[in-house]
Amino acid sequence: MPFRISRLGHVEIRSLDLDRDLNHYVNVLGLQLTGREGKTAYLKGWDERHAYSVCLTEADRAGMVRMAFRTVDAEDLDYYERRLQDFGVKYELIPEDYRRGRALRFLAPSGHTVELYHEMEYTGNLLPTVNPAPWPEGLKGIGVPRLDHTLVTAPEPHTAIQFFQEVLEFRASEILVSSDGTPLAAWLWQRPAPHDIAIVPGRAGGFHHAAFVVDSTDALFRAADILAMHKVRIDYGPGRHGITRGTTIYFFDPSGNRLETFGGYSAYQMDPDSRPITWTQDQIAQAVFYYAQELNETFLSVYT
Amino acid sequence: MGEALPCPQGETVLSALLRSGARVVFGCTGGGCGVCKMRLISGHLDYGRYSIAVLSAAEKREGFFLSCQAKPVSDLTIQLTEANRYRKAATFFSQPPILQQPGRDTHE
Repeated sequence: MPFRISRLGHVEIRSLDLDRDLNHYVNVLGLQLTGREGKTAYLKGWDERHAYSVCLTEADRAGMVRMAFRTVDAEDLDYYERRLQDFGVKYELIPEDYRRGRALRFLAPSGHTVELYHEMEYTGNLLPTVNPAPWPEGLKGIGVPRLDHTLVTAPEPHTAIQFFQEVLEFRASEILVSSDGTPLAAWLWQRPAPHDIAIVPGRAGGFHHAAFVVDSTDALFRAADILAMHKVRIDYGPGRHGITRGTTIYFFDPSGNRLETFGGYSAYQMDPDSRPITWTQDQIAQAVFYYAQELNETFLSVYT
Repeated sequence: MGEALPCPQGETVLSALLRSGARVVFGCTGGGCGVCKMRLISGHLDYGRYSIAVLSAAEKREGFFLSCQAKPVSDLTIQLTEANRYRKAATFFSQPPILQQPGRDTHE
């Protein structure tokens, strides 16, 4: 089965105060502001080659508006359209969006608006394509290079997990199962990394976090320093997940949306023949927070 | 009756509680998740900026407020709620079906 999704392309996150929150996303997280239209600002990490990976939209509540996955090829959109039809999934064709081409938009059983698209304006990253340096000077804050993944909540996680696996052909890297073997949570991938999206139990449409790459242990601790300097509320970390082996800092944006710096550098590499790792329910605490070996009181109760 | 705490103007109720050494459960501190919701018994508040998905107009009329955002403008008497008084971290995974997030669903 070929891989047809190249990555989580962009997420749209709600902000209670766009100007205030832009300061956080630009000066603390260190994203590049690439556009602003009406109540939405468009941002991206310095190493991303398309116009944006984060849309920040002012609203009367926090949370996620939508997640959008970029297909590998333009034809993959046609493939997925047929697949949505075959599975009887209702969808909308979105002809275009800000600096982006057509998309399929549908509601996943988890209650999240999901889009698939291929075309987005190619801007290049912040480095030249001839004889580039390894990173650009003058980044602000943490200076994250890329969006990595998102984690969302679903009232019936097994149904949502099945949808992403069967209809959208994601593969599970890790599954947390209840004592009777029912999947309670799953980490799902197509890009060769432990996850593009993960699903845990909770409210329909809930946004647990969006994660951005930090690419070394140096960068992890520097990120923690910067968050603390700016008095950002750190939820957990620096630490490490048992699931994915990735390093982590969970923190909140000023509207209360959880963000993460995710250290995929410490995670494993996926192979087309990679098969799922299972975590049992009684080991959930260490699966999530490997060092603390206990869940904090916010991990499964605080999200937007 | 509970304890009296000083809360200078400009400080949130949650911040004053935490600074006093109290242990209460709270979440995002951004007005987004609703976990720090408390109830006003008497007094006046500046409610601050918060998500209406976790504090509806009806709840606000019943006296609820988000302690991470609300700042006192007079002496206050407040009451904690189940959401911030006590919570088991592992409940979601140990006892499916899922508990509802406080103040969510029923008010949307």
